[in-house]
Amino acid sequence: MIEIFELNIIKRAFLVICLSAPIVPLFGIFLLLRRYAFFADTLAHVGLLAMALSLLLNINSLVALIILSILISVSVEKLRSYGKLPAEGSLSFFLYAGVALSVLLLSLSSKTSSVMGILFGSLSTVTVDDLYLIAAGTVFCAFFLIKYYRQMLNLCIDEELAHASGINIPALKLIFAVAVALSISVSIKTMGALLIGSLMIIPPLSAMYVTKSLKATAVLSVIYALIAGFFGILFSFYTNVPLGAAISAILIGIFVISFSVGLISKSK
Amino acid sequence: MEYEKLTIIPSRKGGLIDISSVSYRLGEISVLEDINLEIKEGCYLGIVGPNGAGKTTLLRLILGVIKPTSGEISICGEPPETYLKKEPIGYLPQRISQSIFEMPITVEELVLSGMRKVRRDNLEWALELFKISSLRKRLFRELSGGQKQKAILARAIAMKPKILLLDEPTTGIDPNARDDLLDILEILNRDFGISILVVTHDIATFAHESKCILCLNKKMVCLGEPQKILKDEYMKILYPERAVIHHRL
Repeated sequence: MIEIFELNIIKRAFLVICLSAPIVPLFGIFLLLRRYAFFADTLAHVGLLAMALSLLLNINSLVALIILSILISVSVEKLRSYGKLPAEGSLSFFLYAGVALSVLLLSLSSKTSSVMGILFGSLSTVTVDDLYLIAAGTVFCAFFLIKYYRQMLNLCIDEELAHASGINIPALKLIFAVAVALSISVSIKTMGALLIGSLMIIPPLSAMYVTKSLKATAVLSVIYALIAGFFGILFSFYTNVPLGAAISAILIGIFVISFSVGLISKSK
Repeated sequence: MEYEKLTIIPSRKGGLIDISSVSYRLGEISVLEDINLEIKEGCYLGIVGPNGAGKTTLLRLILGVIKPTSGEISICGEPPETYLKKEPIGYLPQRISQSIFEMPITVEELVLSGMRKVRRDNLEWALELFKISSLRKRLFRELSGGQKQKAILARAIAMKPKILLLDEPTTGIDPNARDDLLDILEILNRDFGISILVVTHDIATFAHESKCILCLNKKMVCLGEPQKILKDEYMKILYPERAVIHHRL
């Protein structure tokens, strides 16, 4: 058991989980409260496109991912604020465009063996260079959460109330979109494009069933994400299940337990 | 009836909100036309009028959520967005977004969210004023309608703003909760000098409470002290189908 912690890929996977698990579910809380959970899925599918692009063009996948997801998240937010398209319409457009173009690019590439890793995450995809980028992205996301937590909370409560509190709504939405894009970028390699949303959404969703305050929801979300991350790595290592699927399976278990506990405590 | 720029009593202090020749259109539809109003510090203004009269629009214009099609609005001599960078405005919208009823937020967290910097003394003051200190750890979504209203209002006044804008604050609450609310609004206006603008259909109540009434029906119909304004001749202009409005004076 102890010897697996001496393997570099396991060390890197734990490091990525330690960096991303305290950040990603906190963004999930804001997305859930803004009824915008679909945004995570859209950005994840754009991530798939970035991975496909990097395979075809032989460029750093994380750099492609960060640039593309920031571009798309800003575009989605702009389209939403112009009010020309329904919010879900613009999200759906980018989601399907991301999948369609990814499939197209992957079929042109000869390196299709890594598709499983891209879709469902892998222990071995994170390089040392990626770690630096992930650490930088995490620092930005943490800074955003510390600086804008109260403003984001106001935005989630009601946009007009937030405006009356003196918050610059369009600017805040834009910075939030960029921060969400970065938070997805920092964990997509371990979780996979199709399953990153589960690390973002399931921990806060589970926590909401058993907590009695927003602060407790945030703390429990992070704990859930860390538990799922650590045990997911071990699960994946010993069973060869893709890492994203292993973490998601544990998160599903956590959700079922939280839901049951919430149901029992409500009925008392 | 033609109106010059009208000043709302009391006029002992400088102008707080200045509305000059403001009109607002939504495409071809005129929502507000040529509104001229100077609101002084310490006012307690009731804004009444039929549905679609532009009452909520006027509040949203003052708040800077929407911009006038023509004319200007200033608060303490500055555009609303500039004023809001320095001072918040207390605001109770007609409808609040559904999200707040789903989130696991406590009353204390809700009131604190209205502050730019956490100030525990302001929190205690707001909770005590609305008599909801005992509810501070309760989830907002589990409160009664009246308690929810108090919690949102406590959030609105926690930073002791100069201006409080209320859009139909007595809708959906029982008579006891309404009387409590009116008492608190009187304290805020009288003892703390907070200027209050209330959009309401509850004319009878606010004719008694407010210092001044503005009757609006896309244009300004009349403006002045409640006793002078709420007469049948004006009410017939506002509500032609219902000639007589009974109110406590």
